[in-house]
Amino acid sequence: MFGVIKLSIRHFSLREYLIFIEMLIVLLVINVTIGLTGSVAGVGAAAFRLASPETITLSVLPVSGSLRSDPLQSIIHAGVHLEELAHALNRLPNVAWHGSIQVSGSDLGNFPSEITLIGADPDYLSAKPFPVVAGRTLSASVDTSALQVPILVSPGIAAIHPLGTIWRCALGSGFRTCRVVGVLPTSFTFWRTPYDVSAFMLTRGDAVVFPLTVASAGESTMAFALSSGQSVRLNNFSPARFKAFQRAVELTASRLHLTVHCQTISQAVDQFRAGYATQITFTTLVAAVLLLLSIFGLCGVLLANIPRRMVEVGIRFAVGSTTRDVLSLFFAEVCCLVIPAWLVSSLALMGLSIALSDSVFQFSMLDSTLSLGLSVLICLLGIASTLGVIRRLSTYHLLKGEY
Amino acid sequence: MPELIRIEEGEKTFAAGRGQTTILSNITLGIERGETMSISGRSGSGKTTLLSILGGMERLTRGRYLFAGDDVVGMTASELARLRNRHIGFVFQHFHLIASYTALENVQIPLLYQGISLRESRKRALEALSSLGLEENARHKPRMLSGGQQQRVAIARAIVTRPEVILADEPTGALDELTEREVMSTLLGMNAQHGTTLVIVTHNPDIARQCARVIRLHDGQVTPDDT
Repeated sequence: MFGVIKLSIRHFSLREYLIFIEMLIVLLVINVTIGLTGSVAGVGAAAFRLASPETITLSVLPVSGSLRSDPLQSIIHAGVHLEELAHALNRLPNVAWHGSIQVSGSDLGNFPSEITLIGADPDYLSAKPFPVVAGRTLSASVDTSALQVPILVSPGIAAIHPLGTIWRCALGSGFRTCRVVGVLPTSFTFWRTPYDVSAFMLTRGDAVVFPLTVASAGESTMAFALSSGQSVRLNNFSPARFKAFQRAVELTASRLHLTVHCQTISQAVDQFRAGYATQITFTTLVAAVLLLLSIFGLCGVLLANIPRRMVEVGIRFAVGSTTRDVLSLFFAEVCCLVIPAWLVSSLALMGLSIALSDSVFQFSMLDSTLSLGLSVLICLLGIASTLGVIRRLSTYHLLKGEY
Repeated sequence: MPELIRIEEGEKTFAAGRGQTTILSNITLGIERGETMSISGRSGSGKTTLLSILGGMERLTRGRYLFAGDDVVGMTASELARLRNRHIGFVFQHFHLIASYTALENVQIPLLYQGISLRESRKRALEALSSLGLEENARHKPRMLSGGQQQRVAIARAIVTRPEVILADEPTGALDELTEREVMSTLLGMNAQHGTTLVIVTHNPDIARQCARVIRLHDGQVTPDDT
């Protein structure tokens, strides 16, 4: 049988190379499908995910490098947010989530005119002290008669204490009554500022003190605070910086009237899920269409090949081949087409993955192996269809081309 | 001479729509070793079906078929394949060579199905081709050969396993008169030289007359021998 297979493979013709190219396309499509749908199980898994709406994946990009230079801020902004998120998400059944937070972008002066706050469960903070950072806790018990320090808070905190909320904030060695006057966007540039405008700004009296030693983003932030009726005391403020500050006030004045939409985590999750489902549905549909087209293409080539192969099968039967021999031969031929096609497609996709820095498509050996399995399955179906013709017809009919 | 082939009360029917069509009925036939026999008859008389049954490509619906004393009707598919491979050689009207293979490789195929190595099968195939004067065409593909050459390659493929019987279905049907004579001479030569039994299906009376025995089929039944 080995000799028969060797002889057959030696005589691969244009048709076989056409099948090879088809195989290559099918493998690429299957691989990309799996890659795009972001799951090992590819289309099937995507469909499964659609059928299981409570299983979602949240992807939040990593904290930027500049922020990492200040661990305190990283903890405040990434930690708080993630902890909130974790808490909220963990309360949802079967919710899968992962990630960290992205803190990058423009300063306060580049705020959009509308921002959406993604908040936590309102019961959360009252249920337990909110461990933002060691030694600093927030408390809901407030002295409304005390002088209120205007503060900007992170979106997570703002969700339960929107604009205007008064609360106590552990600042430095004591507690101060604070009023939320603004919200930091989820994308915010810290510009190497050691103590940025956050819930933990340094305060003296009724003024917000901005540490302007390094920050270049401070001007617009100050303008924001100023416009909310607070007096601002400046440290290390040069005439040049003062001019910049004035310009920032003018520039940001028209944009200070922010429309704030509050959104709970559950709502955010729903919104995300809706968007994700749409994305997955679209990707799955495109992938499924591509896959079907490829399979039809391959089947077309296989079927177009059948008449020629059927006469050949008849000849082989006449000279002493069995059905098993013929199927073994077909299977060996398919393997000789699929395996090189798989290797070529895997190398191509690996190269693509590297070229695109894994941003669009990520090569996975497991996915690639799965695509090989699927391709072999398609080919086996093709062989099975041949088997049907062989079984139905006698050798003589095969030889006469009557099928 | 002992009988190589024996069919008794053979019947062959095919499903046709809801009913059945009888192609052969009440066929009783014996073919001796080394005999040359032609089967003739009009189109649709069942001669090709009879040849297919003799070659183990079709099974009798009813009746008995013995090949060298072995019951063919009861054979499994793989036993039938083995019978065709080792004991029977086929020659077809349209040659039925694999187009992508060379003449040599076409002749090698039956040997490869016997499990013979590529090298050994190549040697034996080349011998078979040489015996038919085709050694120079061994590396040619069928499309590069004339009709007569292609038929001789097909004959080489049929004889390479040294079968006991050659079954030829209209072997000269696609050839001109001159080539027809060459091919018939080759086939009859195989019979004379090696004692190979030769059964030829033909509707050509000239071809039929060259065989020692002629049987005619009419509406699926054998009419008396015309020897």
